[in-house]
Amino acid sequence: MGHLIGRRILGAAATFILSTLVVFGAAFALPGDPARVIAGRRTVPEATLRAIRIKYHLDETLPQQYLRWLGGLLRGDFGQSYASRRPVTDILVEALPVTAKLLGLTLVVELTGGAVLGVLAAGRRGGRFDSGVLASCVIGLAVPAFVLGAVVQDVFGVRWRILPVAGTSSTFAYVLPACTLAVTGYAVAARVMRSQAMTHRSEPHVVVARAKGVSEGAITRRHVVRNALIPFVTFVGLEIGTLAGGSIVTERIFNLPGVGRVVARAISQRDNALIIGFTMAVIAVYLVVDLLADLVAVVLDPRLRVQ
Amino acid sequence: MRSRRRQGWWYRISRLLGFRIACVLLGIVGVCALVPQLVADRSPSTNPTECSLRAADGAYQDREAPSAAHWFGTDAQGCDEFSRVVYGARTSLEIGLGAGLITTIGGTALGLVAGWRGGIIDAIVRRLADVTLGIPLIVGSILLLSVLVNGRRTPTQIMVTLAVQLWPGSARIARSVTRTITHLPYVEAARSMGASSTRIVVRHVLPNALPVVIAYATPLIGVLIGAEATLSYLGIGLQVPTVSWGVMINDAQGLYSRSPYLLLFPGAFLVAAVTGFILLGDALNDSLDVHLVRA
Repeated sequence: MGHLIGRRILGAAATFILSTLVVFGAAFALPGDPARVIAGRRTVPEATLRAIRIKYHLDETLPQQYLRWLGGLLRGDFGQSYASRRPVTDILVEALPVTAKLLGLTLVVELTGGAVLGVLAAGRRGGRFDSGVLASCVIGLAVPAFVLGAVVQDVFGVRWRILPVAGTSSTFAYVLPACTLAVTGYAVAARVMRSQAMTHRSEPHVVVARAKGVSEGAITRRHVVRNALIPFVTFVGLEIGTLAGGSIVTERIFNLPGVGRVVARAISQRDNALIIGFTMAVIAVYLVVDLLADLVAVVLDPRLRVQ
Repeated sequence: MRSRRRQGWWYRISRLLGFRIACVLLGIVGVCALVPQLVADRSPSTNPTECSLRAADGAYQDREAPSAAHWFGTDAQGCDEFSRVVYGARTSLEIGLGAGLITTIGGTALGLVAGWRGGIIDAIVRRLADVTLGIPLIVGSILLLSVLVNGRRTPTQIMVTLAVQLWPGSARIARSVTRTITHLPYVEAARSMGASSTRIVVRHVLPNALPVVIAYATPLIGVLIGAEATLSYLGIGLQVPTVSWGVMINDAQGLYSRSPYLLLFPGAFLVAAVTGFILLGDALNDSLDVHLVRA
């Protein structure tokens, strides 16, 4: 088992190094003069451009620049924002609590909703409840957050005045954004859970349990749900990255001062350093969570230890 | 003869409710995309880019609520919302189908080669797929479009940006089918009779992989249409004066409390198009032979 964990960690490290190459290649190695980008639209004298090049080490060769950048990343230095001239790490860390709270609440909503409804639907296959859950999944996948967000804001916040429309005044302010962001993930989670539960329902050990008179509830709890949860853990690992992307849209709609809003502003300010730093941060977080999810799955399911 | 036809693919798929709903939704969106003139001509204002800030009596006008003259109302520039929504269908379908085609062909080709040759090529493709999957679609698109593209973004750039990030799915399927098939007796037989690699791939592997790849790619088109709208909404996708549902929703964002129709009409068409592709994909999955894939 230790051998397996070691291989997974090495694999994740290799993927991280490769993705730094891809991002670096996309961001720095292509034609175009980064010094001019930093200088902005103004016409600046050649001396200023030269000073910028030296300050940001653009006068070095590409491999040198790459190693300097990679070394920085490994020390937690994600570069300096072009727009505010502050370290990207500081900007992201400041905004992180809001996003962490949003994503945490979103995960709770979508995972419990998806798991419970998915399992219940699998138990009533082909029935009205099952069709309802399936329909809700299709709608959840099809309705984009920026349409749903505007509608729920209007209905719950403006017309009925049940929940705050925007801002971070209380935990209740996170309810609408989290539910909006959770809809897509809920749809995927419910589908995964339903198909998993359906597969496990027809397994021989479930048939035996039913034959010896175990109640349906106990079968679902002991045999179906516990087995179906294993691929679900893998899904959580994948979901973190998707949610990081989704938070950019959701935080913009509900005006939450989190990482997503910082990135949305960076897009309009053409602050490429911040966008690159954010991308690398998301990749790093995704790889760590995915690795943890893999390890949890191995702990939960002894069969995965044999390869 | 009749009983054989009863078991056919068309018989199975045409009985699915989801397939029928998908046909209606995609039919509406498809007609709008193919012959927008025809649909928009039914309403009094036909040209989506011909906007008038002056009403018939010469007074300056603002956004107008839906009426007989403007079925979906007019936007802040006085453009007819109905014809804009109709013409927007073409942009969305173009990007969805274009990017879907690029990513499916590219991914399938990579998967076939990786599965067929194995070894180092396989290892490289799989590692590349891991890297690609590690970058979320929206995050990667923001990176590529904001860093690489200067100036106006074209639909082709959006298509390529989305396509280069979504190829691992079809690659994985193609690779899995290829690896299953190469060990089957009839491929062994073909090989021992002297069939070339190309012939085996084209005659045996591809026909088996195709249904699965198509069933995978269809809902992907819906995802791509949604992704284009999201990028346009974030201001990193298409831009005015391109007529696109995402751009229209972005424009309507701040005006929702007074003019919700400016967001709801393009939003409804967007949802209809994406729903259509998802339902069609589900129907294909249920009716096609997809047993060869163990991903």
